[in-house]
Amino acid sequence: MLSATDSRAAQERRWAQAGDFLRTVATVARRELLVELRQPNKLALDLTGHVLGLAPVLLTAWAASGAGLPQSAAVSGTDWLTFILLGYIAFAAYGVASPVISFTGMAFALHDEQIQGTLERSLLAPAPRLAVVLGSGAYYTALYLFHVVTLLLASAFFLGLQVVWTPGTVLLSSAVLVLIFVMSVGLGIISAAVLLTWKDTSLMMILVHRPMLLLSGAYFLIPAIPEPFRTLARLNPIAYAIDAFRGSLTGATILTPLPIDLGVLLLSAIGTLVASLYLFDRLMARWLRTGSLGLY
Amino acid sequence: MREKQDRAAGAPVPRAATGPAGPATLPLAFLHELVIVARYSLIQQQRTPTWIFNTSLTPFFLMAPLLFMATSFLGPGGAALERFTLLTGYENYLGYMVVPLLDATMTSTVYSNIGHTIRQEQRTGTLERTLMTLQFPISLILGRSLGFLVFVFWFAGTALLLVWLVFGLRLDVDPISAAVLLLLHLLLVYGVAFLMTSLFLWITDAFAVQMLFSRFVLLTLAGATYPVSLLPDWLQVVARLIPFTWLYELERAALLQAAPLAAIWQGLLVLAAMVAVLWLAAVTLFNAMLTRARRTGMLGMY
Repeated sequence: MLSATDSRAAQERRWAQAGDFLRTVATVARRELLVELRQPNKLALDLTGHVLGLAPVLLTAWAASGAGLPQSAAVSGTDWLTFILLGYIAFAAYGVASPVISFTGMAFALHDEQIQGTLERSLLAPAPRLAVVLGSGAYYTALYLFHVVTLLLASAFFLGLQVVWTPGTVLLSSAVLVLIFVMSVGLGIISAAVLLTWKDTSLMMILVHRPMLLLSGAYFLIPAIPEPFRTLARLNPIAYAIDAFRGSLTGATILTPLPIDLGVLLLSAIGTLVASLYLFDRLMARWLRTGSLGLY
Repeated sequence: MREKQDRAAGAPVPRAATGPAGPATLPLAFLHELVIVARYSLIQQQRTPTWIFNTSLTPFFLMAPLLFMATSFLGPGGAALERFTLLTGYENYLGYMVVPLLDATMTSTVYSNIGHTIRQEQRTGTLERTLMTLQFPISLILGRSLGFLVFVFWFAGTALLLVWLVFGLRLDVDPISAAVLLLLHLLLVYGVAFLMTSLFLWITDAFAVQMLFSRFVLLTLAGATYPVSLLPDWLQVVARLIPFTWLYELERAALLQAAPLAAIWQGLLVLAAMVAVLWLAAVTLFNAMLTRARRTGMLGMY
């Protein structure tokens, strides 16, 4: 049985470990920011790409909806502009809404380090490896948050977003966004694991990135697309996340009623994060055992 | 012995080994160097066998969300389709989007691939040596472009097949107009690739500029998925300065409405002139960038 002093010491150790963990995340994130600041064109694109990426989506939707012809709300439950904007904003939280910034993210940050030969050393430093990985993705998580906030503000003030702004809807949509970010971090870690194992960016894009976009329903009505994509989209948790975000602000959902969308989102967000951490941990042990992390 | 092995492997052979080319043999030497670089790039590509998945599926993945959007909002026989037909002159809304989207994704893939391989050489420290050993440094880009042509045809073929299978794409082609446009199209795509790749010799994060061009100019300003008449007047003028705007319109006419050469010759002349100017600009920029990189020693530094 532990004495009160032992218990206090154990608690202090845990706090110290948590402090070390956060310091490592902050240090790696700061370094990542410094690296990004040294690429001025990419930085400018990171900060504006979400708006530029919205332009082709809106113009296509504008032409496809008969150039402003009032669309029936029978399927989407809302007007076409609000439907597209909310889908785009929810997708921005995954960092893939804008086609302009499709080659960035935690996975690519780690992959770059692998090519340059610094990844193994970073991960062998006397610091929690998970903190190093999370720190590498911190820049992108912050960037995606910036995208979501700026898109929401721009849509509300300049594009006539038709949503119900009440404390309840704001709170609910914020909770949905938090879960989306949790899932986004989990997907980022999975993408990093795939990329570091296969060392092939095109394979990662084909297996993870592209299908996510294709089957998300961010810009289109899932019930209106051809099979087998319609069924496959219904198996994609991101589609429920986007549906939940739209539903939280407009009350209209496409796939399932809002509570079910929220339940699927909650389970898939936690599941994705837990699975990604487990996968990365197992792969890390293998990489270190076989020495394949430093080999490119 | 080493030279023989290099030749067998398709690697670029140093100038000293080939000997200086006289004026009469210059075109032949240039052609020879182009083929060597093309072979070298094909050998490199073989090391990544996943190219087959990537090249076959990427265009479909890029096009499908926008086609799903069109299907969602237009649908067959809907009121919006009537309005769309009035607006664009095309009832075949899938073809209207597929033809330019295929152009845009193909162009983007060509210069991304060539640009990335050049950047990879810069990173691994072989770019400076490769460029110094070539008698015609320009053949590094042109040769790679030639090698990548195989993938371009595969890329376009599989994309069209998938779109036909999934969406039931219909085409109504005038073969002569299509053949002329294909030639101009390839010249345009490679001219842009040439211009873009030259940026890698100058800008460290040139991929960001390339990405911006792909998505904002090729997809948005050039009107890949909508008629440029929807844009404000001043932006329509800007759009008309982009050769891809003309290419998209001409290819839509030739591939969806079987427009004969006589119906599109004026547009073809404008496009041909733009392609010529583009190539001139690309060669000038490449030479300027190469001279600058050599003078400042930036070529070998990453």
